[in-house]
Amino acid sequence: MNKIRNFCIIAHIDHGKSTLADRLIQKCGGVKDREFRNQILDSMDIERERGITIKSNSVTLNYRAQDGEDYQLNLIDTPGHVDFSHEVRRSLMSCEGALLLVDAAQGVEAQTVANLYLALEYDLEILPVINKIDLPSADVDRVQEEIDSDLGLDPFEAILCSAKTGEGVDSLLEGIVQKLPAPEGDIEAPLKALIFDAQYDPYRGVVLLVRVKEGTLRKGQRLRFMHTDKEYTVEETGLLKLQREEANELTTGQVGYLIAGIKTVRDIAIGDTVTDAASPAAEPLPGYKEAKPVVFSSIYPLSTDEYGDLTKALDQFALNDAALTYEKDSSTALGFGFRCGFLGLLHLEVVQERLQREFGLNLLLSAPSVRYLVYLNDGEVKEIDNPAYFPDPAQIDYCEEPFIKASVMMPERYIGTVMDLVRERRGEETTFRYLSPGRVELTSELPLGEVLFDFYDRLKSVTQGYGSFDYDILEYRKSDLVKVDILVNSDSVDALSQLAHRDKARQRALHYCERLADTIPKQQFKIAIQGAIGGTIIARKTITAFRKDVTAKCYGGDISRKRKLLEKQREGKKRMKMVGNVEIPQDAFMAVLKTDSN
Amino acid sequence: MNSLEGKAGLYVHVPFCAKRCPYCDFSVVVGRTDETDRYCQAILEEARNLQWSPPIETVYLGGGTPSLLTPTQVESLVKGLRSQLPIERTARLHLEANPDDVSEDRLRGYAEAGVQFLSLGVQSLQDANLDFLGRRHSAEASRRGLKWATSAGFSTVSADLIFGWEHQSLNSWLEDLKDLLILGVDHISCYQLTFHRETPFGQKLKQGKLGELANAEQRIFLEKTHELLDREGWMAYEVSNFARSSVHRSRHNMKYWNGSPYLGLGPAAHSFRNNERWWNRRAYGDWLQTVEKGGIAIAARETLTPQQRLLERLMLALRTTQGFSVPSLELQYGITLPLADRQRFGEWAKSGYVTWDGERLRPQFRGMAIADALAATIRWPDENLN
Repeated sequence: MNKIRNFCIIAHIDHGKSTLADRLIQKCGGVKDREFRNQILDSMDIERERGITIKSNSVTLNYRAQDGEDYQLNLIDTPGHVDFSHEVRRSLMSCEGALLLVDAAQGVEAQTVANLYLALEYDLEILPVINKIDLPSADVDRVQEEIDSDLGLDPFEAILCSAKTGEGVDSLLEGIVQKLPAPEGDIEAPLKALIFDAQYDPYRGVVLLVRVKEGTLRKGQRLRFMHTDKEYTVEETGLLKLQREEANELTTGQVGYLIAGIKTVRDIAIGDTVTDAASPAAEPLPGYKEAKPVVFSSIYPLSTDEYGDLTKALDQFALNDAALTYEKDSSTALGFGFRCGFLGLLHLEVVQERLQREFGLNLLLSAPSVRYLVYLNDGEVKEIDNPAYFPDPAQIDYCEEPFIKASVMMPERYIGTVMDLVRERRGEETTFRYLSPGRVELTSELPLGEVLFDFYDRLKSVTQGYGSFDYDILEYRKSDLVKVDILVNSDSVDALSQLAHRDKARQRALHYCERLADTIPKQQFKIAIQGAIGGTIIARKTITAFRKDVTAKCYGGDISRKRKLLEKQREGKKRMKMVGNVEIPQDAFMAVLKTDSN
Repeated sequence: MNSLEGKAGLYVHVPFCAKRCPYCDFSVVVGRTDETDRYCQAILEEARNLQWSPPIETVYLGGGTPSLLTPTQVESLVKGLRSQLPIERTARLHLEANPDDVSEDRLRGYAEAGVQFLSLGVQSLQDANLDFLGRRHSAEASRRGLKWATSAGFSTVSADLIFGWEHQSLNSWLEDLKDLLILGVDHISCYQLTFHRETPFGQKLKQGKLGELANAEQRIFLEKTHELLDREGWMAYEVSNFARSSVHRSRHNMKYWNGSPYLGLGPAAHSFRNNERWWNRRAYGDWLQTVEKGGIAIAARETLTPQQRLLERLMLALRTTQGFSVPSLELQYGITLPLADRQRFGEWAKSGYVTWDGERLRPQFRGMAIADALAATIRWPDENLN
């Protein structure tokens, strides 16, 4: 066990995390130079594009240290967004140490700080690493100074390296062995293994990524999953090298994979504790939280004959995404679709983007919503997350919405702007305290509905990236809820309806009207876009009709070009949805995801 | 079937220009006017190398500046073409001319050489506008030219006007139109100024140094033009082409809009026949060398499906007052008009965009003005063949 090191790499975007990971893999003989492919761990296009990690990944490296001993280094990759804080926490819980990467030219930046805060919460041993020393603009002295003053870490501990050239990587590997602690745990104790991720392999079923905290996990062993209360037998286990490498057992301190005849990821829970069925552990590992969907939206195929394809795609997708919930739904405006539940807005965006990209679908989304409680006059209580089912206000006694306790960590200079932001989002009981000189934690109770809509992005914006955010669900509280309808030329488009707090209704409605007015193209007649509560119009935007579009010249040489342009336009029209007389492009429905830009 | 549809038109490009106008993106060569004879020879060589059988009943010399050719050159060129191509004896000959090249004698010369339709590149009768457009001639030269032209013996004298830049005065425009009527022209073409990216005007537009006339105002220019000429008893037979009476319509240009075949000779010229379209290399030198070596200077071609051809017919017909006949197109392309479109045409008629009697659809001004949008919504070209 003392030859094992479990660690992750945390860094600001583009400070070289992925390159360093690749370099470590290469150095430990995981891959021949020839086969070296950049950024082996980041596997999705979307992840690359947004510069974030969504799925956890892990790799085991064999390293022969200078002391002549062989060490097992487990590099665990971590997702970086609050929607997936579940996965982030599980991954961090699986490590004992973290390499905190800082770009030698850029220095300590926002995410460096934010990620450090997170790692400290899990008591990880931090090893600072100054990367990109090969750059002409590298200023190691300055960065060391920043590591001291901004991060409060010992700058002389920092290892200097260049993942690109390979310089210093040997020292880094030594540093991992010497400075990061080995895992602890009782090898004789009953098995306790943490599931920190799960993947679906079409040939083998679900592959679980686990960290063994106590005891030993063996092939053939009958396991008990403590939170989902199910039992499975270990078909195969082993280490996660670049390919899976089978082994007879995984012992305390090790990270590896587990295959146990599990059909879909929906049968297990990330963060669950796995123990022996015959002699189980007394209690599961602490900190388990069920990942429950909090934001709901309906997804429709743009063309009704793609409904079957959407069904298949969701089923396929769900094999690998346990958090996504979905059930059949329909809309007057958009036809048949699915009501889906997501962990958060980023989760929603990633899912719809992947569905469109990987399955070639064209999708429309309804306005996202949280789940509300509606108390009717006759005593009945309804759970409503779909505006279409919001009861007639005359029947409603009162409503409640879910509140969260939000915790924002940031450098103290941002207290003012963050308090403004929180107030704007109807925050209550806002307080803050100092975690250490210069670093504050602000807590506030906010409606979940206000946090859903780009709160995280706004927070990053007002704290220039330095703020980090997490929340816990509190209870439901009374709320003055109204239903805002969006009408296009007097036709209510049910998919665009949303539930909002009365105080925010007009602002939301106006925002939607503006987004629609921007994305709906001019047509042969004027288009009135209105937001309404009941019969009262609270916002309005008009799109004027176009009256001339033909260029006054069309002779022999113009015809081909003109036809091609027309063919493109006609293709574009196929991606429009007719709502009444008005052609609404797919973009308009997606625009509802983009929120108020204050 | 309209007798004009079946027979072909011949377009001959004459790329020479004394200078290039700042908005022009045609295939043009500045200077080298000492090569005109050589060029005419090359045109004949090109004609000789092509296989073209459909009988030709219009010949259009366009450019560039065709009036840089002398009447003698024009006469001998046309004679040479007649010997290479199936040009009908009574074929109508069109020529474009610039006001700065023409004299009374020269114009008479063209008429005697057989030119029946003369088109003068007036563009504007305001010197300030001509200045802006970078034209070489003055308004006075245009007026003179028109006067000579109308007494030179042409069947039809036409003037081109340009509109569409920011701050252009509607009143001056209408005054220009009235002047043209007084000067006795038989035909008017209005060109909308297009700011092509690679031209000086295109660059200036990008840099914000000049602007386009707003869409709503362009509409007004067109609308007022149609109204004025309509009041004077003229016919608008296409959204931007007007004739004093039907006999003065440009038979050649109508071929582009009614699906007739056409052959183009010279750099960048386009040709169309059956389901094939092709076009020549654009650069003068390139074209010249290729043809003189005995080659065919085709740059590219496309083969069109019946659906694509139908789409072209519709998009072009929607710009013309003649419109289209549904039974005729159904027969020609083998695709039936879907019910949804029938209903659509009915709605258009109700909105005043077209007249529709169940068989023939004729655009009105309001419909011609948004011809592209209407063309985009017709489902017909998406249908399968019968």
